[in-house]
Amino acid sequence: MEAFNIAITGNVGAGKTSFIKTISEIEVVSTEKKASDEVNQLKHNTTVALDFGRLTLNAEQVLYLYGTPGQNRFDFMWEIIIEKAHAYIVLIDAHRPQDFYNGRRIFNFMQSKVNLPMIIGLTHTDCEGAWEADDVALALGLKNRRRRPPIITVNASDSSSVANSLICLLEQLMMANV
Amino acid sequence: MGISGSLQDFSLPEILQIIDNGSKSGRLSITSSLKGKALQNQGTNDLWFKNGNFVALSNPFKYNNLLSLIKKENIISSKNIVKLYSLEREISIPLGEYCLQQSLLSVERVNQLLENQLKEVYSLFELDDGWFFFDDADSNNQVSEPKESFPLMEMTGKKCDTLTISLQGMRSLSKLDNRLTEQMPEPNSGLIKLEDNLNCKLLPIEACLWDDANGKMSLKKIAQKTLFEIQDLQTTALRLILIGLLEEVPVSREEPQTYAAPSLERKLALSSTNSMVKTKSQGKVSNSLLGNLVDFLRNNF
Ligand SMILES: Nc1nc2c(ncn2[C@@H]2O[C@H](COP(=O)(O)OP(=O)(O)OP(=O)(O)O)[C@@H](O)[C@H]2O)c(=O)[nH]1
Ligand SMILES: [Mg+2]
Repeated sequence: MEAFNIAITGNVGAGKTSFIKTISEIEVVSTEKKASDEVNQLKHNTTVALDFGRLTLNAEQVLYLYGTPGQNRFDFMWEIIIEKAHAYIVLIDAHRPQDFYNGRRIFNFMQSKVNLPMIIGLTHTDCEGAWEADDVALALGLKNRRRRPPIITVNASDSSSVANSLICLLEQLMMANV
Repeated sequence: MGISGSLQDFSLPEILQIIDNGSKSGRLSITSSLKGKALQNQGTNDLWFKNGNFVALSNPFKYNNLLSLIKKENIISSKNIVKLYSLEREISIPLGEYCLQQSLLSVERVNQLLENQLKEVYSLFELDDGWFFFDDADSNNQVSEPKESFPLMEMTGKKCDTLTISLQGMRSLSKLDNRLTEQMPEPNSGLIKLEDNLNCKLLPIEACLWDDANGKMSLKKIAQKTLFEIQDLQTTALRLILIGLLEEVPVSREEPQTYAAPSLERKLALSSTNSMVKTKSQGKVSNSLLGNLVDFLRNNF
């Protein structure tokens, strides 16, 4: 069985769990718990360990999706997940500028650990106060327009939007494969 | 379109980083909230940028700020000062440049004026509550004509690199507010560089951090090596992180003390991820799989 591992990482509440749930054929094994203190103001459930989703292509090939826990501080799970990944997506909530700093931190962590095809997915762009992609990129420290990873808009709860973002990531992989 | 928000969510160095990274031109308005502590900063201050560099500070409620600074220096005759005041409508170059041309001020004096403006900018770093709004000249026609909209009477004609302003502003901070201290790097963390070259002069403690920002050396180890206090290294690192020069990273998995002991829940999750090891991970994914997946996604969603 050939497995393709994609890591879904990003800020607390960016939509990692929703992203995997939207596309997975199995019930997403996530270890959610009632969010405590700070996170609680933002949402009711947060992922404490990891999310896992699957998409079977045929008898020989399968896609696994791994979502990192919603932590702002470093988590040893990040490293474990990213080391097994073939590609990854960083989800950033476009309408919470207060989280961009942590997004930058997650992005730089991943970049320092692995050199893999990746894209940045902007979620919540439909929400009030959402920043434009170019400005989010600058906040993440990506100054060179031509050398930055693709930044795409994604609604984590919408299956065609999630599928499109995966296709965009696959294009990155195909480019790296040649 | 511009960017705007609360200073509680987004700090001044973060905003400056965006202006710097994007080589932006336009006006950054900083409005202190009434609850704001720093009295001298009440109201709104406008910082003007050209291609990512600071060029002027103006205040909609304080006209001729730069001229008052010049007047204070007492080097221009009052007759000439009166003349300068009357320039407002016709001036077509920055006031500082005009004074240079007319031999009213020396280059050193003009540079000093910029320094004085910058001191006011540094004091804005103390604001922990208020609002910001950046009016982007490149995407907004209203300020796209520099001659008309840049406040020539408040301009020295000199510019200052935005990263230098952030660095200086953060150094002059008397106290880090809570939101910033939450981001304090841990003693067991290491640092990596986010910039290849530096154009600004670092202080000794900053230089030590910069030199060891290789992702391998923890702050604790740097403290042992250099005799700087760990707390000072932490705050200095935070400063350099906030202005976008460095990033905090865990040193490496081989040093288990950098991680909190995993809970049972995590151990379980960990054992489930171990199945990944058996898969063809880290190797390349076949083009056949990629192609099949693209087809699958196109057809099913
Ligand atoms: N309006 C809107 N809501 C979204 C979008 N993407 C995700 N959401 C919602 O955002 C909320 C948080 O999503 P989650 O999937 O729990 O986020 P998470 O990243 O797993 O969160 P943690 O596990 O706590 O880090 C959910 O209610 C989603 O439905 C989007 O693009 N627009
Ligand atoms: Mg989650």
